[in-house]
Amino acid sequence: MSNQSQKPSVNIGVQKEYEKNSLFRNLCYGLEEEGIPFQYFISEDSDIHKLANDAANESRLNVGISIGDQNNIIIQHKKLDIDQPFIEKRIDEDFQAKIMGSNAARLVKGIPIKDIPLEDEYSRNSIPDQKRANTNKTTNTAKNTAKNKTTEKTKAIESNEASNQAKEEKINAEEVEKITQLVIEALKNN
Amino acid sequence: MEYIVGVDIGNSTTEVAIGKVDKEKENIDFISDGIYKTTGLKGTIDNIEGILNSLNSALNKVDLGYDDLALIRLNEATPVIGDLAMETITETVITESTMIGHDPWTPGGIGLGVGVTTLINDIDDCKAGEDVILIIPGSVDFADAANIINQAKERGVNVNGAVAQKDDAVLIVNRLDETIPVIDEVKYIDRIPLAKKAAVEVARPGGTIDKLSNPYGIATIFELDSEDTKHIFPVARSLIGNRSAVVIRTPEGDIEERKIPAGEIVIIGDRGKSEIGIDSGADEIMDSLEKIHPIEDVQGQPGTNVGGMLDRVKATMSKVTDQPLQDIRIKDILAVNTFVPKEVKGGLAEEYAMENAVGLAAMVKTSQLPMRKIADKLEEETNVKVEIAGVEANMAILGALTTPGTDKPFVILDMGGGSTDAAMVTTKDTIYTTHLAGAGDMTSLLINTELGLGDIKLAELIKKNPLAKVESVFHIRHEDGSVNFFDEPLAPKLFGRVIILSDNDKIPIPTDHSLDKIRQVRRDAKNDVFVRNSIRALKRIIPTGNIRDIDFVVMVGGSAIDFEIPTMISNRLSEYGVVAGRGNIRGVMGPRNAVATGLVLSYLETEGSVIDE
Repeated sequence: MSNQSQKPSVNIGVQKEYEKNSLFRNLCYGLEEEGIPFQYFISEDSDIHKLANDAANESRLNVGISIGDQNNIIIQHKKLDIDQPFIEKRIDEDFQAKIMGSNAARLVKGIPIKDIPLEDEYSRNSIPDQKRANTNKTTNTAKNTAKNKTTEKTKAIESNEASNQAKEEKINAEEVEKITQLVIEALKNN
Repeated sequence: MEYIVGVDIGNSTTEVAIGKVDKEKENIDFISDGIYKTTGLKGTIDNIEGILNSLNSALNKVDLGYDDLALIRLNEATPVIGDLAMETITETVITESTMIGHDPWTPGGIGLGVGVTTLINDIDDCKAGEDVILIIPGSVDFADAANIINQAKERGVNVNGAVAQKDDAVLIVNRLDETIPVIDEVKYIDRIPLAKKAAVEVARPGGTIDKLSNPYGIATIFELDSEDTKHIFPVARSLIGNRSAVVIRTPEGDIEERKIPAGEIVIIGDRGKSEIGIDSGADEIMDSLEKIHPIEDVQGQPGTNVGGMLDRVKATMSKVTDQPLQDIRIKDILAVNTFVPKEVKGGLAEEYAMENAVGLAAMVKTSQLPMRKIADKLEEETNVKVEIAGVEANMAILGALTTPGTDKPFVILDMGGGSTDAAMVTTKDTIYTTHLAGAGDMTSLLINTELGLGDIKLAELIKKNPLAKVESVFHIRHEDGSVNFFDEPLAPKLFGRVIILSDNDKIPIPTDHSLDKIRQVRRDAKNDVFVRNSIRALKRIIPTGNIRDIDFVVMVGGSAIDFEIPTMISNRLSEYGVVAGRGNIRGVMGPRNAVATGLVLSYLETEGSVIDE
């Protein structure tokens, strides 16, 4: 039964070793971009079907997610069968995890879900060539002024792939908490 | 006792009826029927395959073989074929990237921001007090972007808005100390001109922008004089209804709607000749057509699309009938105004504009189709005597009269795939016929182009079936508002989508169009083709020209099976006091099999049974 004292939110069950995983973080970004509040709990449970089901049952939006067990993400609806979740997918890339987050939000909103492409269409193109020369300079200046945490992240402008690993260690559960807080505040203001 | 077969080769289906004639040759019992899609172009030797398939399925039902048959009667098919074309007559072009007018699902922030377009990597070159609109390419992480904006603001740089390439707007705005409007999912972000004044506007959820969709709003922001305001008006107009937009002011920047020269058609009739440009629209084309009717021929301007299409129809017909090209005449055209979604040239976010277009159906008639060749071949294949019997319209009337509740004088509307044919029989058995361009295929084409599907099969499914919206994993809402629940959860790919309910299949429509929009396009297409053609047909064949002078209209043919076309026509014709409805051949066949039934019935008459004069 859902806990009526909780705020309406999507509930995420996270296997312990995924707590600091970038996939989990990007999953949250997907939900945040769609403007749907979420909360998460850490679990020792190795059965991610059950984890997703429990998460969904606890959610007042009736939608739960589980992540773990070799990069599997399950989006589950409270009214669906435990063995036949809404979406169950093995995810390898961060941007795919973000789309999974969007899709969970879209399940709440009742709008069509996005397809999950194999490649991120924005990782390659984007910065116009003539501007690339300036990128290094900008990064350096930014580094000097930036606070400790952002220093690592500004490197991302130079290389996307490198940044994923760097950030993995930096951002922890606190940040997720912070994001959740932000979203909830934003909703309140609305 | 003998078995007689009637075979009707139509534009899209080949239908068969088998009748058992008793010894006295007074009564016919219909024992079986068959249907198969017409193979090849109607009236060609390729039709044999379809005929045999249709015949075999009818024979199998009653356990008969070719040996049991006494006679096969083939219709003298009306030598009519149709073809279709679509001409876009306007195009929208954005020059120098003056605006971004797309609607991302989730823009970020709220309000209006004005500043100079600056790439995020160049922010350090900006001095305190400068007004900036930040351009954020997809390679920049949203958290970094947010940090950079926060730092710039601390330095006193006024970052008033941002344009992002990825779907990141909300994520960026959530990490800002101060909310600014951010637009995302701008695919061609590298094409945005830098160092130009720009304005970004995002409305609250559920709202629409009001500054950038107002020409005076834009004039205020960019300090335009009256001449420039006139110039910017199309930009404002194209942004109406959006939740978010960007306008960039460049000296050469402009958006214009151009008219594309689409060629002319020449309508030649008994009463003169009329030249008319396709770009003047469907209504004017149809008006001049009715004025000149009856038509001798229609020609298209050489070198244009419309000229090419009309030539193609004639060339096909000439090949089929072995007649010289100059003898082939176009006897009718149906023009319909429509809209085609086209990607805007010069757009930055794959914006689409609804361009005006004219859909054109043409109908060709020749003196005769080579039916004898088909008959000989069929005789060879089946060893049954084959005769060509009767004009199609007469057979259709004979068949349609088996619909319970009808009587002469009445009109049949035969609505097929390629053409709409009508025949009227008076109390004195005089028969008038007419053939009009435009039918089921034209409707599919209109649905396909107006919804931008690029998939004619999907358009046909939309045409033939009602819609529903998947509202949860367990229930759908039909287009009439009623709800259906399912025991099994629906597939995720259906979730939130508008679906087609075809038999037991649920086919998702992969567009962002709402159910109401798709339904409206579907009904408008049917109205533009079938309702208009039914009125046109009646005015032509009724000797008095007054629709009130007839009592009964019976609709037959493939498109009469449609779930809403017959009711749409019935509604329209009820204004004239006409009883109109879908035929029910022999009381059991519905609107199908009219001609095949007529072919069997007419056997008695030709075999010398008594016909009272």
